[in-house]
Formats: sequence, C-alpha cells, structure tokens
Amino acid sequence: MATLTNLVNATSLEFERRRKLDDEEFDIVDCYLKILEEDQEISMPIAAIQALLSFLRFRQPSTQAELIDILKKATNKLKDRVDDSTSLSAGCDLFLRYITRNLNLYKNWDLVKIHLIENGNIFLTRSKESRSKICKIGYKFIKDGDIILVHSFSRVVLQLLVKANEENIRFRAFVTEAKPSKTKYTSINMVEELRKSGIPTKLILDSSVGYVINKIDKILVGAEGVLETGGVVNHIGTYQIGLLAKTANKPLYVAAESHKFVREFPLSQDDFSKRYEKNDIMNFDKSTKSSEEDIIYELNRNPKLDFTPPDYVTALITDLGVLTPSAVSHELIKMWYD
Amino acid sequence: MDSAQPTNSSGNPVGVVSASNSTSKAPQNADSNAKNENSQAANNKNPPTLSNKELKELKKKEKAAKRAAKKQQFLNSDDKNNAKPSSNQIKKQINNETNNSNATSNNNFNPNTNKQSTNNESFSRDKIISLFTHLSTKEERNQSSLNILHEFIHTSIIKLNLNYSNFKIIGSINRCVSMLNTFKIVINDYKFNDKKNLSFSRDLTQYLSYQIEFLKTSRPLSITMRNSIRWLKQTISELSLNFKSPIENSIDSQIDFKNQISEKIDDFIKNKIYLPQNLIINDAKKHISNDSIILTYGNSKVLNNLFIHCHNIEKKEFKLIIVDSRPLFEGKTLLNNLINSGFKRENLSYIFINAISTILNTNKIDAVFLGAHGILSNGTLYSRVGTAMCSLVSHKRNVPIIVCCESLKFTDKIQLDSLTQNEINDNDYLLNVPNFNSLPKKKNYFLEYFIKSKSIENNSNNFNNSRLSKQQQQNKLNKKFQEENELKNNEDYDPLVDYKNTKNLNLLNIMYDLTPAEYITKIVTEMGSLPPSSIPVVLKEYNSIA
Amino acid sequence: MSSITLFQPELNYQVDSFITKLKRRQIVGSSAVAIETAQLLIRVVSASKWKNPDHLIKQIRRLGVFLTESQPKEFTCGNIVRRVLSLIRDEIDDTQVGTKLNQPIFTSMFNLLIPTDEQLDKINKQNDGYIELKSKLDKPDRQFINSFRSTIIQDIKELIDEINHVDEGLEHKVIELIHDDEVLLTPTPTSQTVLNFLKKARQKRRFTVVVTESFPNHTLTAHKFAKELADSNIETIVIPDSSVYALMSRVGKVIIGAKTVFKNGGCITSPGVSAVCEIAKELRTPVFSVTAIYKLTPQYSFDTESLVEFGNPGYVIPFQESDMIQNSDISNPIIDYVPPENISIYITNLGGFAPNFVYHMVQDNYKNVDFDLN
Repeated sequence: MATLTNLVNATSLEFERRRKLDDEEFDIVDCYLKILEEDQEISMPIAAIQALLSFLRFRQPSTQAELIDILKKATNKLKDRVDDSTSLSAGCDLFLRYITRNLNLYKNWDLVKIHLIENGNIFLTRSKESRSKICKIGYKFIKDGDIILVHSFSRVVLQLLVKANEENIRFRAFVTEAKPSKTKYTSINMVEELRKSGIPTKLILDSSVGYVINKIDKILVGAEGVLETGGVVNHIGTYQIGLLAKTANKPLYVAAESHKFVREFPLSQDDFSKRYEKNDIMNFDKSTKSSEEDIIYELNRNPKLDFTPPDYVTALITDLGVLTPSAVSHELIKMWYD
Repeated sequence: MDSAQPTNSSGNPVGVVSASNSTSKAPQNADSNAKNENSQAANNKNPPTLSNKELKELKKKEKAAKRAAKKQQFLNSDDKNNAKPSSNQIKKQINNETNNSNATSNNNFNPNTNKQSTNNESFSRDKIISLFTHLSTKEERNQSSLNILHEFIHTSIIKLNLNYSNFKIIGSINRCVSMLNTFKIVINDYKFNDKKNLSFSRDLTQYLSYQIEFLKTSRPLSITMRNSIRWLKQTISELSLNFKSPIENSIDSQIDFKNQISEKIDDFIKNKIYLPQNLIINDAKKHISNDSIILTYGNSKVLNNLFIHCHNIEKKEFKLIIVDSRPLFEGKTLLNNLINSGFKRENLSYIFINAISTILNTNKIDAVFLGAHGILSNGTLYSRVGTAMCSLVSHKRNVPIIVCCESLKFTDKIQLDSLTQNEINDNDYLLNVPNFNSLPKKKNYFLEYFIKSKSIENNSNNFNNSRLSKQQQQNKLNKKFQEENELKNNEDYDPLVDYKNTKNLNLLNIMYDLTPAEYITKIVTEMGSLPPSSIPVVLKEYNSIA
Repeated sequence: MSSITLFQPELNYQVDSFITKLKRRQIVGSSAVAIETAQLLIRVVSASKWKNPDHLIKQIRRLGVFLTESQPKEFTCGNIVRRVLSLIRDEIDDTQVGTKLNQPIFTSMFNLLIPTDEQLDKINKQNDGYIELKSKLDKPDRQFINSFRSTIIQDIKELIDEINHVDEGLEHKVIELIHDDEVLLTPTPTSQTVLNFLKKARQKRRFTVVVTESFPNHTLTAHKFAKELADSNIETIVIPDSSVYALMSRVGKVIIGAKTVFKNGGCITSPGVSAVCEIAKELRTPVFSVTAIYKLTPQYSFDTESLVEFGNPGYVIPFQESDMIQNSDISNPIIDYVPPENISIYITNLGGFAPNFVYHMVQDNYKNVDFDLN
C-alpha cells in the first residue's frame, strides 16, 4: 500500500518536475514566433501547429490523456500570450480537434510519430497547396478589364492576383495603404510584389476607398480568421470597405484557407476585440500630449483588426471551394460533430 | 398678389378634385358632363393676379353664367347654330373609323345601334380586372363619344381625336402642342352665338369645353394638356376683362380677341415648350460626354432632341441604349429618328425591357435619361409604363437617373400607386404578337434525306414503274409539307385571340406607372436641375400657369 | 462531327448523336435533357466495358467532360452525370461498409492534417479485412461486376423516376405557400413546372395568376400558358412585361421557374425575371422558385456576364424592318441570372430551402470530388 502511494507520489513528482522543466526549457511562444520569423511563407495557424508539434516532440507524451493535456495547456498558453490570436487559435483548435477526433488512429504512439512529428514539414507543403488551390479556384473571379480593390497585405490575395496575371487576365488593382500595419508586411510590399509581376497597381489612402468604390468591379481581401457566421476578422478597415461595397453593390470576396476557420461568434467589434486584441481606443484620458511622437504612439495603439459581419461578404474563396458565408458554419459543425 | 394668394390656394384643390373626377369616371352623358366641365371651368377661373373686388365681380358673373348655361342646356339641346354643316358626315366617318379599329379584335362593336353597344359595354366591363374598374377602357371612351353632341364638335378636333386614339400623335408634349394648335383653328372658326345670353368669353370657354370633352373620349387628357387648358381658360377670361367695350358688340373686336388668343397660344407654346426644351438640352448635355454609355426608355421629345443635339452639333461620340416595350414600341420611333439623323451603328443599341438587367450588368452605364408624362407634387415620376422598372433596376446599380421634363408637366396631383390613376389601353394591342416565324423554316434535312434514300431504294427496286412511284412520292412529299405547314400555322395561332369569350382570362394593358422619387437623381427642367424633393417648391412658388 | 473514342463504336455513336442534339438545341427543357442524359448513362453503364467501379467512374467522368464541353450552358447534363457518379460512389461505400467504422474521420477541414496515402496504408494495414476488400474492388470477379452494374442501373432508373415525378413532390407545398384569393405573379410562362404547380394548387386554393408576356422570345408560349391556366379554372391576367412594377404592390407572391440553380443560391431563368425579382425585393413581395433537385449545380456563378446567352435579334426587330437592324446593335438575351438575395425560397421535390442553403443540398447530392469533372 505504501509502495503504491509512493509510486503515485513519485510519478506525480516526476510529472511536476517535467512540467516545470518544459516551462523553463521550452517556451512555446518563443518557438511559435521563431517559426514565423524564419519562414516568410508560413502563416500563423501553420506556425502554431508547427510549434505545437515541436512541443510534442520535446515532451514525448506516453498516453493519450497526457497528449491531450499537454496540447491543451500549450494551446492556452499560446492564445494568452500572443496578441491578435484569431488565426493562431484557428490553427490550434484545428489541430487539437483533429487529434481528439482521430485518437483511435493513434492507439499506437509510433503512428503518431510517423504521421505527425516526423513529417512535420508536410503541413507547410499542404498549406501552400491549399493556397495554390485557392488561386486555382479564385482566379476565375477576375475578368478582363476588371479593377480590383485589395485591402492590406495578404499572401493568398497576392498569389491569387499573380495567378490571374499568369493566366493572361488583364486587370488593374487598387491597394489600400492599410494603416496601421500589424506585421512587417505592409501594403507597400503588396504593391511592390504586384508591380513586380506586371500588374498595374495603384496605392491609395484608406480614406479614399469611398472615392474609388464606384470605379472598381470587385473587392478582394484576405482574412486573419473566418468566424462561425462566415464573418471575417481582418486588417482594420475591412469592415468599412464592406459597408461601402454593400451600398455600391460591389461584390466583396474573401480569400482564406480553411484552416483559418474559427468557432467564434462575435456580435460586434467589441466582442471580438475583447478576446483577441488589446487596444485603448475607448480610453479618453485627459492627455494634453500632442507632440508628433505622442500622436504616432497614440495612433499605433489603435486597433489593428476589425470584424466584418457576413452580410457584407459575397463569397469566401477557400481551398474547400467557393463558400457562401453560411457554408462556413456548416464546415465547422462538420469538424466538430460529424 | 398677396391678397390673391389665399383664394388661389383655396380655389385650387376644388379645381383639382373636379378635374380628377371628370377623368376618372367615364362620362355618363353629355348633360352631366357639361355641368361638370362648367363647374371646373368656374373653379379654374380664379386668376391669381386679380384683386378681391374683381374676383367677386367675376364670381357673380360666373353664377349668372352657370344658371344661364343650365337653362341653355335644357332649351338648346337641338341648337345647331354653332355646328359645322358637315358634322353629321364626320360623325359617320368617326363611327366607321372606330369600327375599323375594333374590327381586328373580332369585336362586334357597333356604335350605330345603341342596344347592341350597351351590351357590348357591359361585356367588356367583365374583362376589366377588379383593381381597375374605376378606370375607363378605350371602348367605353369610344362609346361615350357617341353621347356627345357631335354637332358642336369642330372637324379638326375630330381629326385630332382620331389621331390620339390611334396613337398617331403620341407623347404628352406632342399631344399638347397639337391640341393647342388645333384650338387656334377652333377659336378662329368659332362664331359667337348670342342666343345663349352669355358673354363672349363664357360662350367660347363653354364651346372649348365641349371640344375638350370630346377629346377626352380618345384618351384621358395628359397632364400637359390639362395644365395648358387651365391656362387657356384663364387667359380667355383675363383677356375679356381687359377688353374695354364688350366683345360681343362688334365683329372686329371679336376678331381682335381671337387674334390675341392665338398670339397668346403661340407664345405659350414657345415659352412653355420650345424654349424650355432648349434650356433643358443645354443643361442636360453636360451629362453626355464622349464615350459615355447612356440608357433611355421609350421615346421622349426632349430626349430625342437632346441626343440629336449632342451627336450632330456637339459631335459627341456616345453610346445610346434604347430600351423599349410592348405594345407601343415608342423606342423604335426614337431609334428611327436617330438613325435618320446620322447615328452610327456602333453607337446605337436596342433592347426590350426584359433584357434590362442583363444589359446593366454587362455594360458600364453612365446615366439613364428618362422622359416624363408628369411629375407629381411629391417628386414622383408619372411616365410610360416600364419606366419604374428601368429606374429601379438602374438605381439599384447606382446608375444616376436623370429625368428631363418641362415644368409644364408638373402637377399638384397626388397619387401613391400606379393603380388609382392610370389609362387603360386597348387590350387587343397585346394580341398582336409579331410573327417571327414568317421567315422560311429550316428544312428537315433528315426527313429529306430519308425520303430521298427511300426513293432511290424504290427506284432501284421498282425499276419499271419508277416514274410513277416517283410522282407518288412527290405527291406524298408535298402533302406532308402541306400538313406540316398547317401545323406550324397552328403553332403561330395566338390562343388569346378569343380571350373575350374565355372565362377566367383577362388582359391588362395600362399606360403609365409611378416611379418613386427616391430612384430619381435629378430632374432637369428649364429652371435648372432640381432634386425631386424640390418639386413642391417649384409648384408652390414659381408655377406661373396656375 | 467530333468523334468520340470513349467506348466501343456503337456506344460512341449514341453519345455522338446525343451531343449533336444538345448542340443544336434539339432537346428543349431541362427535364428532357435530364432524362435523356440519364438514359444515355444507363446505356453506358450497361454496355461499356469496365474492369472495376473506379474504372467506370473514370469513364463517366470523361463522358461528363464531353457533354459539358459540347454545351457549356446546359448545366443539367453535368448535374445528372455528377448525380450518377455520386450514386456509384455511394454504392462503393456501401460495399465497404464493414471496414468503414475504423476509418479515420477526415472532413474537408482536416485537409491540412490528413496523412498521405502511404501513411494511410500503413494505418489501414492494421485493420483486418481492408486489404481483402480493396483487392476485391480493384479486381472484382464477374459476379460482382454484374451485380454492381445492375444496382447502378436500378439507381439511375430511380433517378429518372424522380425527375419524372418532380411535380408530385412540389404538390404538398401548395397549402403552405398560397392562401385563398391571393394574387400570384409569374414572369416565367415557359416553365412547365410552374404551370403544373399552379394547376395542382388550384385543386386546393382559389387564386389569381398574373402572367407576363416574356416578350419577344416566348410571347406565344406565355399566351398558351395563360390560356391553359384559364382553362384550368384559374383567374388569369396577361400583362406586358413593362407593367410589373405598377402591379407589384398588389401581388402577394411571385412564383418563378428556374433552369439552373447555382451553389450560391442564384439561378438562371427566362429573361426579365431578374428585374421582376428586384422589384419584388424592393416591395417586399416574397419570391419563390419552384425547381427540382436535378437543377442544382455545384458550380458557383461567379461570372454572371459569361452566363448570358444571346438569341436571335430578329425577334427583337423583325427582319422586315431591316433598316433598323442594319443601323443598330440589337441584343436579345435569352436567359437571365437572378442573384440569391432576390429569391426568398426554393421549393423543390425534396422540400423548400433558403438560397443560402443551396450549397448544402448540393453537397448532399453530389460528391465534392466530382465538382470538377476534369
């Protein structure tokens, strides 16, 4: 009896020791950021999955329960510590869901190794595949003579436009300045890339969208995350473009990989920013500061993401095909309950 | 002016009510109608420029005139003094004409025998949809024309009536101009009848009222016509007040009076129709530039001139899409006019209203130009049926909609939907389906081939009597083709031709619809470009006709 | 004439003649096309030579490509081919049912994570009976092929039956859709489905139908339509296409037929309908479309402009008036695209559903892999 409790104590101690160890030795957030840093092509959900896998490789869980426990904890940590974590949480949720749904496959730990850990880069190629799949489906949306409005930098959108250009579709593009930018990739990069591939491009101010809205044919944006309703979280400014598009009867297409779908259902901007983004836009302090620096600081503390309700989205171009906003929910439900 | 304002505004609504009454209800008989017209004329006789005293005088005069007129009607129902000697013949002629126009519809409408025609009337009433029973049909209008004493009607008016009802003169401006010009003739030919114990101007007005009543039997008056008639009656009474000696006394002063009216009418046409058109064209032309794509519906006099002006004088190369609809095909007239004035093929496009959304989707249209029949006090556009559809579809695609119309078309009428006031056109126009299949039919090659091969087979088989069999074949072939043709003719047969005898089957052919003000971007008038919301302002403050 | 070398000669000939008929538009109406396509497929399934179900699928897909390419705007062909493919795939799944339980769950969202084939093989090897079945499907014996063939043919026959009885499926919806004394407007007098629906509805309700003329292409048809309605004791009013706006405020519901329904909920129908639906939407008049499941197509209508077909301009201005024809550009679109937001509901033989639910019905009836036949 004593030996048994000892044993239990020993294992729990051992467990505790190992847990402390990971916290010290393996910082999943660092890992995640490093992955993002290293590869420009990698998007946030993929980076999150990669980070989780590295973590698994490090921890080598021996039971299913442990596997899930480790994953859950790591996921929460990631979500907590990374700002703007919509698409990150999409990746984590997808991964977690996949593992739990298919646990029966992984009765045998070796198989997990074969599939998930040793072929880690498979996700990267898959994610690239899904992007090129989107391009293959999506370039047909662009027609000769179109003028397309693009908001902010988006890899998918960029690739889609380049693909359309390769297919000898002649079109022009407006790119919004999309300030403040959240990552090091800005609209300037977008314009650069587009021009490099020979697409006539014009950079416009965010405030001139209303001016050009009647001149353009369609709007194409990427997404940080696609929500349960088919609404979209994207770089700030997408919502107002959506509103303008609706009044001007211009279609707004969102190009996004299916691994960006998240089971979230925000009702308003606040709803989602409370969860994902920290900003002080509602903080009207009596600051008297108005030096240039202060203003830049103040502007940089503006929200960088907004939420576009599904009413403003004409269709989503995803690797699962072209989806109406209502179909997103269906896909998500399938993932959880099928 | 200030003192006249309140009486004017209180006098106006009454006039409006009676006017709408007289058009909405089919005239039952000449008697009541004349009364109606009288009271309307009386109400309209309040010139805004008169002082109170003068007004009172005028009213007294009117009362007396009314009483006299009533008496007159009982007494002088067979008074033929004013009538043209040939009017009886013309009456026959018009009867024949109406007969002819109805003949196509297999309608045994015979105006000469009263009994039969009343039967017919009740029958055609069945064929009006319950939503529209308050409106008169063309047949009813024709019918009622018989009840009007043709002896009083001037020949040229009868001619005009026919031109209206056959749609030879169409479009509210055309109708209005032709009416005013005809009135000039009528007034010129008018002989004063002093038996009636009326003043010259009263009698003339009454005489004109008869003519108008008769004109109404062709089609209800257009808003422009109504506005001009109001103006004309007012002018007559104003002019008569300005005459020092009573006009009745001398033939010279009568001629002088007539000439003055003629002049006034000419001025009116010039100032209210032709001049405004030029001003409108000058204003509207800036919306048409090189390479713009313009869409228009139906045919409007101003727009017609505008397009020709922009093309021929301003030398602008723009593309015009003409939208047209059944059964009037007014767009064809516009198309023809433009072709004749040298528009190039690539700049003209012609479609039917069914194609409108497709065309709007495939073309980047810069503006839609619309004509108007009238503009109501809340900025609503009352125009040819189909205009609302075009406007809505364009409005939804953010295409600006520009309405070009003279302020003569403004009216203080109120109407909230297209059903309360409208004109029902002859249903039989809808039966006229153009026979597209009159083109040579494609031959049935397989059948021919089959027959040929068979005949060749036969030839080789029955070598001896090949000739005979060939002939037989030929006969058979002919017979077959004949049968086929018959069948095809049957296919072309319009199953609705007999709609009057078919239970449950109705046709509806209305002429106008209402376009809500919210679809209209701007209204170009001779007073400049206005948003629809400013129409009441113009009506209240600047409308010099009233 | 393009010769097809898909199958053995006599089958190719049948396919060829069907394609020519399609190209020449000698088969009119979606239901006729649907049935003919299904019958052609029966012939193919029964007469063509195939080694295993996968082979059959390949053959049918190739046939589908031929059919859709020969008449790209006749979506029904492709739909039927996809339906049949889905039937075949279901049958294959059914034979595999024993092993299915142990299969991993891969919904499309998991695209990113699903193992490669190799890995899958390794995983599957652990499951007993899998290999056995796989080999059976790859190299099936004659008995299996024969039974498989007959089940598929039976399935297609059921499909034809479904197409033939679409109207009966719609019938039940009448009570839910129409009230007594209602005014209905239909801008698609060419639709046999609408005609049958209204006639059936008359047995339960008393109502008025306003019919537009659909000028210039189908005016006579419209008149015949109206006459037939009147003969079935339905109060009928024929109006020119232009009067729709004027009357819309008095119309209770708009009923339209649809030739093809896209995945996004938009549909293709007769010209003019789009404008009518826009008016209806503006005045908040519900628009319901009676259609059939086989008209759903997995395609997304992203390019509405390219969907438009133009017909004979001689119908717009008769050739007798040649002056106008020579001097202007006359267009006569023969179809119209109605966007999903202008349709309230689709009534099909499988019940009614909102336009934004069409994608789901599409997924139910076709397999994702067959969306693109190439």
